[in-house]
Amino acid sequence: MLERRGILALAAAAGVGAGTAGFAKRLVDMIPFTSRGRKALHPIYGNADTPEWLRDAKTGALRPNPQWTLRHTVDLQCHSECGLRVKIDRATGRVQRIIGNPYHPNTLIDYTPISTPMIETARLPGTVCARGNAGIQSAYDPYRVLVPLKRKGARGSGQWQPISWERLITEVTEGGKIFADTGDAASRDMEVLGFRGLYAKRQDLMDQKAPELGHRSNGLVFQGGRIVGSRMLFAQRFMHSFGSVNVFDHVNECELSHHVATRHVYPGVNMTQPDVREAKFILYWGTQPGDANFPMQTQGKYAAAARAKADGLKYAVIDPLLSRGGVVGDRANWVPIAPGTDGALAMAMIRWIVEQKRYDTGYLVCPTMTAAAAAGELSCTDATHLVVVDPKHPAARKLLTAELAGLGKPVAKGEDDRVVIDAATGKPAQAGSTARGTLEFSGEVNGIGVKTAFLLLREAAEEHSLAEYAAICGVPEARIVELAREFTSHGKRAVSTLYRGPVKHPNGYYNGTAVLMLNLLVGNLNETGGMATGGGGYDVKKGAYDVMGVPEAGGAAYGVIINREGVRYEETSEYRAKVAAGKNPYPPKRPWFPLSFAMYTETLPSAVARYPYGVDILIWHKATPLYSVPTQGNPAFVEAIKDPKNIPLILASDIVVGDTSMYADYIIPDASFLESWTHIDTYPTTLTKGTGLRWPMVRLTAKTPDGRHMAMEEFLIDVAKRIGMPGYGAKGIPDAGGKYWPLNRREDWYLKATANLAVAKGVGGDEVPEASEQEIAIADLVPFQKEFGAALKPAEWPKVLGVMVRGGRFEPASGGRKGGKLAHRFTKTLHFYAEETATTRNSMTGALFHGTTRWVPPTTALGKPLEALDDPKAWPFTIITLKGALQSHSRLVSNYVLREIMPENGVRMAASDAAKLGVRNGDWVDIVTPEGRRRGRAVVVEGVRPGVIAFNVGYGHWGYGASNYGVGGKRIAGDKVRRAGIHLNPVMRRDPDVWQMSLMDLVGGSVVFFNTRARIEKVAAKEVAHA
Amino acid sequence: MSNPLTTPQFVPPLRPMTELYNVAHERPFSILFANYSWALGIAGGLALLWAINAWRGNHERVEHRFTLPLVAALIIGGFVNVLAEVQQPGRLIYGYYLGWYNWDTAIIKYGILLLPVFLALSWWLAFQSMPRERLGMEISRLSAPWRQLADIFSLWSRFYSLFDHRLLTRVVLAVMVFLGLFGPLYSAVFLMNEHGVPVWNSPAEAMLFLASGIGVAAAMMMGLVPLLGWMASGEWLTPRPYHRWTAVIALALCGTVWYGWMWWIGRFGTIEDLRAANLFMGPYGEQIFWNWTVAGLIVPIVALITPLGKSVLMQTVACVGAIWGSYAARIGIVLGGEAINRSGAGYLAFHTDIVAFWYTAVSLLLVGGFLFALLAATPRTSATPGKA
Repeated sequence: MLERRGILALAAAAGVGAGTAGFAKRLVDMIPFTSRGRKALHPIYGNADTPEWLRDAKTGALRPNPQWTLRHTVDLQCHSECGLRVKIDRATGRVQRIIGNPYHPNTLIDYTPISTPMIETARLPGTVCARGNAGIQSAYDPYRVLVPLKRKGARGSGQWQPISWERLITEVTEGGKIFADTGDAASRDMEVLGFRGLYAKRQDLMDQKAPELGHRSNGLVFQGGRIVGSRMLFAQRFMHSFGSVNVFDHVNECELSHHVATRHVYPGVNMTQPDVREAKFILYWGTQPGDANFPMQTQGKYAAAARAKADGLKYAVIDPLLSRGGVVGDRANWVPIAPGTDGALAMAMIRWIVEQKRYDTGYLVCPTMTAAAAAGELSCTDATHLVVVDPKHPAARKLLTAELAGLGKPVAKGEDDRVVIDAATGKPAQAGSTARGTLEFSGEVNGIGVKTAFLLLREAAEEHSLAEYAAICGVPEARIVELAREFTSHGKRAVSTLYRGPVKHPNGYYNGTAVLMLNLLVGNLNETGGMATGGGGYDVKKGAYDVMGVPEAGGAAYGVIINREGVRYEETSEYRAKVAAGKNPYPPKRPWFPLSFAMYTETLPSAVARYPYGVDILIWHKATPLYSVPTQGNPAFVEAIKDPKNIPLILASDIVVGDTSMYADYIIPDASFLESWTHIDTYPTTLTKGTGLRWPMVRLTAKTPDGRHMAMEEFLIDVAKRIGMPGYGAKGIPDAGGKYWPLNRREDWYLKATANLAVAKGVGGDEVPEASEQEIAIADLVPFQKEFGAALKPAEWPKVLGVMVRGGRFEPASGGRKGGKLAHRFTKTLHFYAEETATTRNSMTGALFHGTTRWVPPTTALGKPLEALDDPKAWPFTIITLKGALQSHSRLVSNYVLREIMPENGVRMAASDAAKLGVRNGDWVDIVTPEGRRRGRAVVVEGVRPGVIAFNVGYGHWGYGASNYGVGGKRIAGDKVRRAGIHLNPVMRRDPDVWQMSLMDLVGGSVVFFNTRARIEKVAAKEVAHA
Repeated sequence: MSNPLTTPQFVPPLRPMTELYNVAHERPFSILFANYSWALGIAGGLALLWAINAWRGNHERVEHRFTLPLVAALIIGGFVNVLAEVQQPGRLIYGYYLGWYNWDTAIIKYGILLLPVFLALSWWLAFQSMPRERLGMEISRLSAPWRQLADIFSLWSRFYSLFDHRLLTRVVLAVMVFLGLFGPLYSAVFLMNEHGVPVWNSPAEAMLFLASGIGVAAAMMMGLVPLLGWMASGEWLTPRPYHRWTAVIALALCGTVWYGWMWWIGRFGTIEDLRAANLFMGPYGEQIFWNWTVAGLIVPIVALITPLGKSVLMQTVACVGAIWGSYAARIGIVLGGEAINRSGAGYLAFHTDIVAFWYTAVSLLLVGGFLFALLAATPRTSATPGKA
């Protein structure tokens, strides 16, 4: 028995001993019983932050918690530009938490008036989304570049050396053999033209035979990725002062055709948005509330509130993909359309609406705003305006004017100098003197063949039957009718709105205009529950100071932008020379984009191809074209970028060694959004006028020798001063009185722009209050004012501080409506017919674009149908992208709190497709396109249209901390979390006839994301094991 | 993916659920909570059966002498799993010294109070269940310091016997019955208190955990407690026969509750409940079926109701199956409840957490260690309980 007990005792000792040892850490944690290895900050709240505000238990009065500095700024985690309240630990100077700025319209439906003292906002802070909350990790990314880096070895070698700020400025300014120390055989003997050398050529023509190309100084190109508001103005000021027109951001990569289409329907306006809260029915095309849109959280919030009403909002999401945020409850439904066929569906609806006469006749017959006002309408269209349809007439495709119609002297100018058929007399009359025009007319006026714009649309819609449209877009005819009927059943409280989905196609412009055209049929602009152009923002350029004025620059900046945008090919010397030589001028080497702007995706291939000219110095500012532009991450193109002969000097202003900036020669440490400045207007969605202020919450980059924190602006200022550019240094910025103020640091400029914002003309209730002592203390602005006191006149400071503590200037929420109508109205004539488009030619084929929208099948630049390019039988799937609520932009890869929720993206595919292919959820699959293949995990869902595969953008990085690199001989290990997932941009379809060009919308200018055909190959288990 | 309990509201076929393999969800509970729930649940079941047995005066049976060491060890095992799960042990007790109002809605306050009582009572009664004379004899043989130590650990049990006082015995046994019910119910109530997890927010779970605790405890009385007796005494002592039917009824009740619950959800549940049913009948269906229904319910019940069910082998098989199944059920409920994505997008996959596995392993060592220690402390006796 003793043995038995001994064994038991031994087992007991072993078990208790080993178990206790295994639990040692927890048991030690128990000893103080208030900690878990380290003492909790607070016995009840644990390690959670203490609150921002403290409440007196007896009186209930609030006071600021002195532990925290609270500042208001504007987000840049996506492009919604939401206001943020940033909580900074005074002891450490570190940002501890981000929530919403309650003064900012995006963050609350009934946001707080700016007249409200900050202490009174304690109980109701604003909201931000998960991305906004995660922004701390963007700023404190362990892969941040905080000092200047210069490549060591060849471009793209991944080896960097830290250099001083002075050396950076000296080398890039003076040029010469600046790569001699890199050891790179391709560039060590290369003479590089620095800023000084190029600036000296600012009066030399780029090409003597083509003076329209401008000066040699256009050889400096600023390719901006994420740069908005006044930060863009700062860059433009530098570039224009330098003598270069080449400063632009990434718009055509994003959704340019949406803007161009909007501009043509709503002349001059880039974006319209629904009055979501009061609308009864909304068609969301290629977007859905709760997903990426402008602004995401606000759209989602408004839609949720509106659909909760008893007779509230219904909406349909027209998109090949059903994503998580969009379709909720029985008031919303999903229309899984075939990618890129939105125009067909919209035209089908237009056809049905016109045939059934369910359009708003009383609205459409008003030919001018005067007539509309008399009829009680809030906007007017050109529906009754006559268009010259005689193809031989010199004014063919233009709108008929009084002079052409033989109606004598015009009674109105510009867009009101139009001719209609007076509904009262049946005779031609000047629009300006007519109360009601005839909607449908075809005949001759003064011997000229004409038709009304409305009739042209009707004819365009009738080019296909409903059945044909249904076959094209994959939406049953009955469903089309149902949508059209619903859309025309709510008077003016129905809206058709879009984001990227319909426009990122070769036919994107036409899709976009067709979608927007529906709004004109119900006359919803400026109406409650209708379409809004919003209140816009405040002018920050002028007022107390002229922050853009550089008189001595002398207009050296002119000419054709390297992307060939905003210029007709037919107006170039190249075209004329070819015609003179008897040659067919079409096609040019690369397309021209006369109706577009910010053709970002064309910058690099144009530079390498030297068409229309080469680039001497390229600045990538927070730009990552090799990652984000379809096709540009392909190996051949990357090799071309790596060759210094193509672009001799590449500077990247970036916060990390990014997927593209890894191929730069120098990296200039830039400020993250929590460290930078900008003034950025609010979106039409909120209906009110507002401009948010982004300003440094913290400053993390290294300092220049004179104590400034490094950033893009400080770099430009120092380069400008070194080469003597006007507008910098002692004679920097003129004030309203003509006195010049110095521009030696970025605050000298941004604070003056803020002063302009503070004194800009208001709209009532939006006067900026002076910051109170308490508010200055809460935001810890005394040291700030002390540091930058000389940048402003003393009298300006109280209101400038008032703007800073509120994070901008915003009209009260009540200002969005006036007398039951929208307060901010757009009063220009809306266009059924886009004359500018109608008279512009496709630079590749010479064919004229359509002035009346219609269904236009997608083609290559030379007009080859995409169906013929890649046979759908061989390539049965179409790739689309999505921007999810947790991952919408490439730069969010550093946000580990988001990655923890969604570490991979995978390839979403329809369950029915998966079943056919024998693919199960989570299987590895190869996505094969005509340009290459990529491997990812299948995500099998019901919410994707069969035949479509979708991937969430922002995964599968190779830079931005995803791969190893070296700095100063030290190896920086890449993080596999950042490599995770699949990224299909590099294998997207290129145009077969233009070197390294993605498929493009030649009208609207958008690069094409959604027309790459693909096939799916299931990866064998054996292969996965080796993957 | 077919659902055997299809009803008009249980849309057939079940909607396929997408495994959100790519979502690493920060779960409130890991398998450590399942460990804790299981250990306390079984401890409660054992305590309940022991108390009933003692109430009936069966003080000489093997289950009377060798059950409570197991109960005490399981309570310790459950306790350390909680400590490992909560990570901040200090925050388990702050309400006691910083004000009760801090625990306005916290269910944990009851456990923090009652579980130590349960442990202390089980520990004490484990020694009280030993033959007093033999205990006294063995302790008195020790040297003075060891003797004092042994008295402390045995709570001076050699000097008195609870069972000599009938009224006090009844009171103590009633408390033990209460704690025996509390053990299985508490972890279920704890989960019910967690908002927004439909699987957890159901009283069916409490019924299930209680029935499971009793069923497994009864199976252990037959398949494990005699083994403990043998380890301590070298004799195989036979338990009372009625445990067999207790186990069968309790396990059958488990099956009824589980499938009744699934049916109820399908018939009357909200969309969130249906997602739970989709998970258990869909992606988790195979695991649930084999580990819970077959191994945990059908095998033990069949083993026990056949004439061979009286054999040690069959009772051991039933015991192992019931243990396995009850643990699987808790894993399924704890992890499955957390896995259901509230947006309806699919379900979240379970990711291996090496820390949780580590503490699972070391808690097993601790349970074994304390169990063996108590068995080693059991006095050697020539009496042959169970042979009566």
